[in-house]
Amino acid sequence: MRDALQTPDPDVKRILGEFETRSGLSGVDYELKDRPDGQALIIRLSNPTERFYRVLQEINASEGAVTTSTVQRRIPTNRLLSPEARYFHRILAESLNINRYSFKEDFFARYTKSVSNAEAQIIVSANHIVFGRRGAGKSSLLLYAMRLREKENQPTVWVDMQVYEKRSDSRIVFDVFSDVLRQLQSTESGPSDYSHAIRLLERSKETPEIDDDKIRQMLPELRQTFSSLRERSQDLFIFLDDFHVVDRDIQPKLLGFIYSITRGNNIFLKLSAIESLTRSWDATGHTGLQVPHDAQTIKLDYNLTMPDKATKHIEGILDAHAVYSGLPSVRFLCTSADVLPRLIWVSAGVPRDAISMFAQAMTRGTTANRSRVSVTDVNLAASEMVSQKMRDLEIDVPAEEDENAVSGVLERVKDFCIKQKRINAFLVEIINDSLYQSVLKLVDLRLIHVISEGITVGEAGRKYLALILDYGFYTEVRAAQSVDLFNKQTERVTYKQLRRLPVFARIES
Amino acid sequence: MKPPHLLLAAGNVRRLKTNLVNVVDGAAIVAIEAEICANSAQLYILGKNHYLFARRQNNRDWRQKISRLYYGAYNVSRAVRLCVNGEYSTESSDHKKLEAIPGDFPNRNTYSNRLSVLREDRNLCDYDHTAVLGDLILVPGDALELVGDFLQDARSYLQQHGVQI
Repeated sequence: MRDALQTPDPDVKRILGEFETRSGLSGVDYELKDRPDGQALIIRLSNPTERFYRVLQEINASEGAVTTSTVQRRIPTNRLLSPEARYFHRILAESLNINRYSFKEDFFARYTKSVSNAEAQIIVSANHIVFGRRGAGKSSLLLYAMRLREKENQPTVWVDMQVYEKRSDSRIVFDVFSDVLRQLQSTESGPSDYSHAIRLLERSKETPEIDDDKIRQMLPELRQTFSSLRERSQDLFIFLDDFHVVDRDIQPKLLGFIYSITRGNNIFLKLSAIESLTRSWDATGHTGLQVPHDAQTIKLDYNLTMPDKATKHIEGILDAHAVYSGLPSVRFLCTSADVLPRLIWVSAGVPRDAISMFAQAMTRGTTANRSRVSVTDVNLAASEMVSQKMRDLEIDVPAEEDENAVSGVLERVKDFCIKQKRINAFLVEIINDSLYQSVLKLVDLRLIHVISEGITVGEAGRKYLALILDYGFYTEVRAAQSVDLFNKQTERVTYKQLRRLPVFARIES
Repeated sequence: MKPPHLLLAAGNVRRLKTNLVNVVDGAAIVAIEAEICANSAQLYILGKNHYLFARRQNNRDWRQKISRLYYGAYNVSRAVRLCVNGEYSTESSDHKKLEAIPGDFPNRNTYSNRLSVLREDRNLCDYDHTAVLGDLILVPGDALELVGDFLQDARSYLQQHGVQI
């Protein structure tokens, strides 16, 4: 019989509290239905998936709840302010910096595989260097391999190379080996074989002068230490994340020493790096990792040369996070079908930039009392992002005085596009000189973006790279209102359209 | 059910089959397995008939519609439990096992939670004369969709387990 109850009883409050804690959502919408057989709790979500039912079933099983509880679908009045959208916003921010601890429990529910199936390559027992611009998903790919190995109880070591940023001294070799051995030691339950080697390395680090010979003398002992893994018929993956941050000059030497230990020892190296900032092989000293003999490369860039693939990949990533948050898709939060193509275009197909910009656009939309994200919100987010990219430029590229130095070239490109030609797209002839190298660095830093990797304009044999200047540089510039925006619908462009673009000229020496 | 019948031979026919492996020959074991699968298929068809009948009912007859949908889901859950665990029961307590979905069943927690809600709605429909349509957690349309999806997933699941439907 009916027994009117107006306020949630303690059991309902407890279920709600537990649900919010375990699902990550806060302030969930719910209804208390007063039925003849008692009170029923109905939690309302935009997209109630198996994850939320699992949470509820776990609560009911563990706490012996007496109240009937379930989850049902509803469309929130203000989508951006819904608990699901607020949680989505939070996990987008969390996903911007991937490290070995990211998404421990739900990694595979939130991971979106690459369009090129790089996942099948990275898990193979071979040395790999994953190249891509900042935010292309290099660390995520390494983490995919690591999480998969963790599931299978296979040994892994993750070295965050940011710790060794700009290091150029030989001591770095000992530091990296120590890092690897300590991680292996921490996973051992009994007395480990690694203590002796770690002590040896620590003693050696105290030596005032460390030269290559000193390091070489230690290699046989280190190699012997690692061979114990081989004896256990296990292979080991060593992940070196963001390898490019180490000083370029020591990169091949460091890799060479590591490889001399791992080679033939069932140990495989998995590096992530920005290609133009990486030197894996020193041809003169004959040291390092030589591609493709010693290592294979995996290139992760789905840039604007493949807009369809970039769109599919980025929308897949955003959708995975949206569904995890209880939303049907990322488009559920957009005012029109134009929002996502604009996002792909202004992010130039870089997943992390797209994620970051969408989060920013959500904040913009909320501030403007909109219930969904608009194209304007995305545009404004793009202009905010360019300052972050400029900070990356200062971090990643040392100051140079040459007139073709990276920041100098950027200023010239901006002037060329915004003031002189009033079009955001241009061509650069592919000649391996300092200007071209600077252009490639600007591409890696996502300040300019490749739209075609090689076209011939006039004379046969002369090839050009087609590029666009990052949208953030001119979206808020008054003078740039007359800048012609090339291919803003992120469609495939024709050679005819590309050949019409102005050529960015070299400075005559 | 009249004897002789496999389902009357033991409380759990899967356990029976396992324990007879060294007692009877291979052909007999195959015959037992075939009989388990045939009974699972028949239970599935029984559930589907309840569902098809419910689908034809007007939503104004919400008590009957929910009740038949419930029996549709219940009998299909019996088919799954018989096939996977060898469980078969005609006791009233068996209704509480409606939500005991196998671990590898797709969207197991979703079905477990929502079918449990359907059982409570059905109890209101069949036994509480004071209940009104607004008391239901699952309106007839939602319940129809839920049971339809469950039947579809159960069919694929049973087929993967060797049941010919």
